Formats: sequence, C-alpha cells, structure tokens
Amino acid sequence: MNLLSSPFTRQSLKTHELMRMVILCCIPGIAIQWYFFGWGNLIQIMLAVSACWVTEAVILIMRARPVFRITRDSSALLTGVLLGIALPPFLPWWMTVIAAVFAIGVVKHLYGGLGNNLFNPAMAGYVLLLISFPVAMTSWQPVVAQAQHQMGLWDSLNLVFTGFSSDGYSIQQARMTLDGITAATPLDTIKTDLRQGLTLDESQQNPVFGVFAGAGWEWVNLAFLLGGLYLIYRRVISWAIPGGMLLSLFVISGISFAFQPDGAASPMMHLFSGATMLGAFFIATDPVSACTTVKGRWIFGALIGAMVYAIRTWGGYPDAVAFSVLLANMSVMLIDYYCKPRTYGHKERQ
Amino acid sequence: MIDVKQLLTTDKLWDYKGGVFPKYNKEQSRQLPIQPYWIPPVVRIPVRQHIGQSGHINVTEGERVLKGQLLTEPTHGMAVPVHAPTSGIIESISQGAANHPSGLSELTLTIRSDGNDEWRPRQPYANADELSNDDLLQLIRYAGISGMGGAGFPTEIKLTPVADIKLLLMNGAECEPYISADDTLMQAHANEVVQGILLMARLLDHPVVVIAIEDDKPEAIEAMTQATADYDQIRVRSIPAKYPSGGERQLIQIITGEEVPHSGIPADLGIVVQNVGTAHAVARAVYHDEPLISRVVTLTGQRVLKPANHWVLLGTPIEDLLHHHGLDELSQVIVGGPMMGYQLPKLSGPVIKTTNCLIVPGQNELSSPDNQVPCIRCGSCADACPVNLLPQQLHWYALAEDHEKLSEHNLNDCIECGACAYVCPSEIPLVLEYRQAKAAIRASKQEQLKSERAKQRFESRNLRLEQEKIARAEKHQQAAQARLKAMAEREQQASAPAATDDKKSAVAAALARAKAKKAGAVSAPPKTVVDESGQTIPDNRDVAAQREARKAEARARKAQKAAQAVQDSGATPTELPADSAQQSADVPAADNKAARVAAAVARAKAKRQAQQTQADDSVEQPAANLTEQVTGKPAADDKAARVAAAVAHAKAKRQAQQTQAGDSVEQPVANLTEQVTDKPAADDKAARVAAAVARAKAKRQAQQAENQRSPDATPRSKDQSDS
Repeated sequence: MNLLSSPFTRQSLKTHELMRMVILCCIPGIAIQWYFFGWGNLIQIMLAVSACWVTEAVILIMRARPVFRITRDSSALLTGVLLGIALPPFLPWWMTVIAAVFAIGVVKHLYGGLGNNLFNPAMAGYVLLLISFPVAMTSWQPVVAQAQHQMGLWDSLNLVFTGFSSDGYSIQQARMTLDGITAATPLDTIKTDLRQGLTLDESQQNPVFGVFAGAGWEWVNLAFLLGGLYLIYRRVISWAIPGGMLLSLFVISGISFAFQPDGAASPMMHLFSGATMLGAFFIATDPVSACTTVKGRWIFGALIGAMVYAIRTWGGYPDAVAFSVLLANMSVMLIDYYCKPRTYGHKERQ
Repeated sequence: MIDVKQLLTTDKLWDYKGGVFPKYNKEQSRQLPIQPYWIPPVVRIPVRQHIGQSGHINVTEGERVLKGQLLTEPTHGMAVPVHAPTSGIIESISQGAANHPSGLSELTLTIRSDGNDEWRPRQPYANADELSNDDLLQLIRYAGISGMGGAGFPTEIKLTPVADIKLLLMNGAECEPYISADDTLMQAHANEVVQGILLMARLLDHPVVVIAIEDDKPEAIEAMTQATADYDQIRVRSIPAKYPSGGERQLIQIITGEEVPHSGIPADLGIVVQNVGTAHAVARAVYHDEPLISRVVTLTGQRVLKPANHWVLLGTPIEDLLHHHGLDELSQVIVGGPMMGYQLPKLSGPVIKTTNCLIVPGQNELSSPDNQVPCIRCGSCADACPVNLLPQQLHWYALAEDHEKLSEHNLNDCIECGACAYVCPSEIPLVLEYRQAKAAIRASKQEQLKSERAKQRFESRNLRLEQEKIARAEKHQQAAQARLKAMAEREQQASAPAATDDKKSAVAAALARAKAKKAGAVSAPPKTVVDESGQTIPDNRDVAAQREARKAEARARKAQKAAQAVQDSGATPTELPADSAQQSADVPAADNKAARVAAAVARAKAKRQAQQTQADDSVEQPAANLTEQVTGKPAADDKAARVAAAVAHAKAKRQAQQTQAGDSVEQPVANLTEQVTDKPAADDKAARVAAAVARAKAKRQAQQAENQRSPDATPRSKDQSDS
C-alpha cells in the first residue's frame, strides 16, 4: 500500500494554471498593443514563445528531465510572451531568438530551472539585447495612425525576417511618422525635450502624447492594469509588489512634479508610459525572482518604482523597468531575510 | 494576563493571521442520533493510547475480564490505564497492529468478547461533592481519561493546577473537515458535557469557562447555550469557521487575543484548554463510574453508504468495524481529518482514545499529490500559515538540510496543520518535509549530546591520568629527596671519621657485588649464545640483569641505611637534618645541570659514532669495560661518574643499534642498565631518567633484533623471561 502524507485535500489552483492565468491576463494588453502598433508585437511574441519553448525542451533533454511533464507548467511560455510584448515590433528575428535562448538557457536553466532562477528570465533577455543592440532596441514604431507607411501582416513579417518590407521599406523607414521624422516614444521625447530646455508644455505639443500620457501607450498600460487587477482579484499575484512599485513611482514623480511642474514628467506620464503597468503586474510579480514575504514585497516593489523613476529621469535609457527589476532581484535575499514575520508566540525582533 | 471579566461580556473575537477554508464535508455525517455501539467478536487494546507511558499490565492470558475492568495499573505519573470495553477472555498479550502512522506494532491486549457485555460492579457518585479534589483527580486518572481532541494528553495532569488558572477554554471548534463527532456529542449530550465542564472547573478553582464552537454547528451552539443557561460563569462563543481554529493556540488567540509564549504552555497565560469530548468522559466516569471505554467516531467518506457518528468501543478493529458497516475491499482508510489525519498503515489497527474520525474516501475524493513541481515561491503558504512562518523558506532550507537556518526560521513552532501544503500550487508535501526535518534535527541534537558526553568522558579520563601522573611524580620526588637527604648525611659522615669507614665499606661491598655479578653476566652470555644458537637469550638476560640491578640497588640501599643507623646512633641527631637539607639544596642543583648537559653532549656524540660504525662490531667489549670502570669509581666523584656513565650508555646504545643483526649485543646494554640503576644514593633524578630511557631503548632494540631474526622466537623469549 502506498503510504501518503497529510493533508489529503488540496486547493485546486495549480502552478501551471497560475502561469496560464497570467498569460490570459496579458491578452487585453496584447490586443491593444496590436491595435496601436500593428502586427509586429504578435510576431515577436510568436517568435519568442517558440524559441523559449524549443530551448526549454532541448535543455530538459540535455538535463535528462521529463520534457513533457515539465513543459506543461507553461513557465517558458510565459517568459516568451512577456519578452515578446517588451521587444520593439520590428526587431530582427535573430535578436529575439538570442534573447529567448539566453533567458531560458542561461538565466533559467543554468541556475537550476523553474523556481531556482535569481533573475527574471524575460527581463534578463531583454537587457542582454538592450546592452548589445541599443539602437535596434530603442527603435519603437509610432502608433499606426501616425505612421507614414502602413505595415500589414506580410510587411511586418518581411521586416522582422529580412529587414525590409515587401515594398522595400527598411525598419528605419517604417518608423517615419506622417511628418517624415523618425518617431520617438513619449518617454524618449520628454527626456530629450527637457534636456534641451523645453518646458513640459512645449514638449507635450508633440503628437506622440495622447489624452493623459503617450498616444497609444496610455491605453496599452490601462489594458495591462486591468489584466493585473484581475490577477490580484483571483489571488494569482499579491497586490504588495504592484502596490509598492506604483505607489513609490507615483509619490516620487509626484513630489518632483510638484516642485517643477514644467521641468519634470507628470506622475500620470510615469504611470501610464512605457512598461510601467506591464512591469508592475506581470514582470515584477514573477514570484520566483521576487520577494516572498509580505513586507519584503512592498519594499521590493517600492525599490523598483524608485529605480524606474531614477533611470527614466537621470539615466541613459528612456525606460527602466527591466533594469530596475533585475537590480531589485539582486536584493531579494537580503530583503527577505530582514522581513521575516514574527512567528506566533515569539517576541518582536529587536 | 487576560482580562477574564471582559471575556464574559465582550462580543469581540480576535483573528489569527492565515488559515484556510477547505471544503468542510460535515453535512453528510452530522445528523442525529449517534449510532449505538457494536460489540465486535474481538477487541484489541493497545496498552498505550496517549502521550506518556503505558501502565503495568495486571491481567494474564486466559483470564476473564468484565466490562470496565482495569487492565493496566498506572504506576507512574504520565501513565494512563486502559480498561476492558466489554466482557470476555484475554486471548493474548502480544505485539499487535497499532493505530499509528508509523505502522509499528504495539503491545496489545486481545480480548475475545463473550457477547454478554457484563459490567464489573460499579459505584457511581450521585453527588460529586462527596469527593475531595484529590479523589476526583484520582478517579479521572483511573478512568483512563486522556485528551480526546488530538494529542491525547493525560487529563488528570492538565487538571492539576500548576498556576493560577483564570480561564477554562472548552474546545468544541472541530475545525477539521469531515469530522462531526464533537458536534453530535454536544447536540446529543449537552448536559453531560456541561456536568463534566463543571467538574473540571471545580478542580481548577472555578475559573471562567468559555466554550468555543465554530459557527457551522448552529445546533450544537444552541444545545450548549441552553445547557449552560443557569451558569453565569460559563459562556458559549460562536467563532467563524476557519481551519485551523481548533488548534489550541489558535483558539486561545481567537478568544483572548493573547498568544501563548514561545516554548510556553497555555497555563502560562492562566488558561487550560480541554476538549468537549473529554468533559463528557469525565462526567461519565464520575456519575456513572464508566471509565473511558468508548467514544464517538465519525464514519464518513464517499464509500461509506450512510455516513454517521457511532459510539465505538475502544479496541474495535477498524477493519471489522468497516466490514460491519458493509465496506469490503478497503484500500485506503484515513484516521482523523483530511488535513492532519494519517492513512492507516494496517487496517486491523484498533479504534483508540484519540480516534475521532474514519474516512473511507472514494476514487478521487482525497489524495496526496503525485505531480509535484518546483516551488515558485508564490508565498501562498506564508499567507495560509496560522503561526506566521515562511513555509517557502523552510521548504528551501529543508531540502538543503540547513538545520541552523531551519531553527532560525522557527521550524519548531510549526503545528503541522497542513494549511501550507493545502494551498501549495506546486503540490509540494510541505508538512512531510517539515516532519522529516524536525526528526533529523532531533536526531542530530541527540548525536551532539552523545558526542558531548563522549568528550566529557574523554576529558575526565585525561584529567585523571594527568593527576595520577602528578601524584606519581610527587611520590618519586619525595623518594628522590629522601635519597638526597641520605646522600647529604653520608657526606656529612665523610667529614666525620667514625662514619666514613662504615659507609665506604658499604659502598665498596655494593660495588664488589655489582662487579662480581657483572663479571658473571659477561662470562655467561657467550656460552648460552653458543648453546642456544644465540637467538633469544639476550632479551632474557636483559630482563634478568635488570632484576639483578634492582636487587643490587636495594641491597646497596639497605647497607647504606644500616650504615646510617650506626652513624645516627653515634652522631648528634639534632644537627644532621638541617645540614643535609642545606646540602641537598646546594650541591645537586649546580651539579645536576652541568652533568645533564655533559651527558646530553656525550649521548649525541655517541649516536653519531654509532651511525658511522654500523658495520663495526668489535666495540662492545670496550663499552663493557668502560661501564665497569664507571661503576668502580668512588661515589664521591659524582659528576665525573655521571658523565662517564652517559658516555658509556651512549656507546652501548650505539653498539646495540649496530648489531641489530648480530648477537650478544644486549650484554653491554644490560651491564649499562645495571650500572646505571646500581648507582647508590649519589644518583639524582636525571640519572634515573637516563637509566629508564636506556632500559626502554635496550628493550626495544632487543625486540627489534628478535623480530628481525625470527618471528617465532618471541613467545619463547617471553617464556624465558617469565621463568
């Protein structure tokens, strides 16, 4: 008789279900992204997911682990999805593959596979590319409505795989806006303008800005916010990390904005631009590489928020979520160690 | 300290962090009535059914016992007796299947019931006031009552007040899914439960009583409220259903807001927690003289046709009980609830005092996980933990077997409620890991304790040896001083002409004897060597020579004493001690040092020579001569003699080394030894040490030589040396 151990009953939510739930909650954001930025990101997601999955399978075979059972946990799938969302839409395919292979092969499996990685795999892959190919990685498309050349699915595929659309436009040409200038992201625009001495008002005359943040970006962020709130509602993620991150970003940018309303981006801009919401609800909450104590999660989130603000304001890169998450990943052990909760019957630690 | 007055009036309940809400599954079994007990053909009573020791068996095989008869005598403090649940014959007293997760056997009394269910004579008390508190405690003890909720702690001990108890907390929470035994007991026997509570309260000097029941048992709450309506010191509280609210420490937190201090007990807060089932058992014992021989057991699970609560005689084999209720082909039976229960290892195990529920689950009703995946540190377990541990970190450290970190994260505060494993999305058997880690820590602590003891033993042995050594050294020093004194006296005599002759003659006699003996020894060996092909004799001779040397020394000492006695009688006795003491302080100190240095130099030189002339074997004779000469020198010339002795000794040693393969070498060594030991009182400590060293060396060399020649010679030489 096979002897088992208590408890004999389990809550139904399983790890692979958690992973799939997170992926499903990305869908609104992906859809909005598709609506504003075209097919590029869907192609990147497909590419990244395939590369992640193949890498995972190959490494599991090399490690002599049950491939089918383990890939069922969908964690590689999630890494691929997050990576694909974050990458610029017309990034050359081989860069995406490099990022995916690095994320799964090095960052995840060299540390021991699921549950053992120190860093968020998707963000580590992203940063690898950001450092290696800074130009390609900061070449975002303008929103479809403002683009000079409309890129359909076929054009997008050609751009990603050959570098030229079927009409012969290059990636740089694909970035042309209606005015014939190369598009910059809202965060990039603000940063450049403020450094050039423009006021915020002057900068925001630029058509890359929308209703309350960047055109298109604000809606993408809103969609990720909704997906994230659903994850919290379903208790898939705890609200401490996004709460801590958004709160600290809001407070810090708010203080800065209050002191120099013309010289700093508004809190709204910070919260609804770039990868803020994606980062807060889908990336920083990766449980493996995040803090695991409640207090620690608040600190972890707040740390990311503060670093996002710092890098966006003073750093060399327009956005900062990936760097901030990786830096915060490094401090997880320390934070958790000092955030041990008081055990029942024990006195508060001195 | 808790505010008890407030507990009677407040509506406030506290909450504890964590906890889970599993599917309760109590509806199936919680209807009344409780089914009457069934008398199985055979009952098996393990002698130990609680925490503590078993009593002393006071029945024999083949004896007929009556229902309620005492089977074991509680001979020590933590012992709780067991009783015959029905009348019958003791069939055997042997190891039998136990109702315990370990699956190990236990000493079990097997009774074949005669079906009469015949009681022993009973003397129930109508009024418990007749009983003194001590009598009441004894009665509870002899009724075999131990906690019926979980662990089975002897009730009598818990009711013996160790502190000022302000609150008696009656646990009717029954938070585990499936179980409804306490629920139905409170519904059906509320009055008896209250009677038991009153008896317990009396023993604890009338504290406030709070009966805590989870709010999914409205009938039980109603029944208990009615039964306690007349008592203003008793209050029934309905608490929210949440697992594990029925844990002793969690319940205290819910009702009082206080936490039992780490490594403390509830009594530290002035609280005693008792199960309602235990209260019922106490009432039955006092008012019906009915020891604990039956209890309410929930029979449930999808495979049980009519889930219900049953009175079950303790000792009823679970297998038989389930067969009796129409269940065949049992594969899995869970004892207790699904959260903290265990799978019964042997179905023939009996119902015991703590068995509150038996679950026979359907195909997919209850299962332990079989597709465990890695921990993703989601932290659900930490959210669920009622004692605020970090199960995800404990899991990590348990896998790494990092006992230090496990203790740092308070593994020992884990109550093994299973909430963490229940919520774990990766289906990790966390509780199992913690149990194993706890056991490993316990084992390693014991190991540590053992090695600590071994270390202490070793150290005290070393200390003892050291002390013995010191004592020995002291003794030797005393002896040496005595000899020095004698020497001083002798020198004193040298100045006094009357004594000189005596002394000289004594010394001369000793020397002559030594010489003669040596000559004998020198002449003897060649013959023996020739006769016995020179193999083992040297060793024997060595020993013999040493013995002779000692004898000679003794003789010399005797002669000297005699001389001294003569002298003492003649000379003035009062002056002598002072002089001798002075001399012993002056002379040897200066001389010894120089002599020792010289000796060391000589030894070193000799050694070097020995290495140079390993092949040369003609040196032995001179050495022997030299030693003779040394011995021949007058004792007054102490220093020179010692130096010479050292030189001789060195030479002899060299020869010994040199002729490891040769023969008759030990002779000079023997001589030397003789000579060294032979030296009368003039010898000081250094000389004695040198002699000892020389002896040891000679011995070793002899052994070496022997071993090299023939291995079978050893026993023979032993024989000879013995003879």
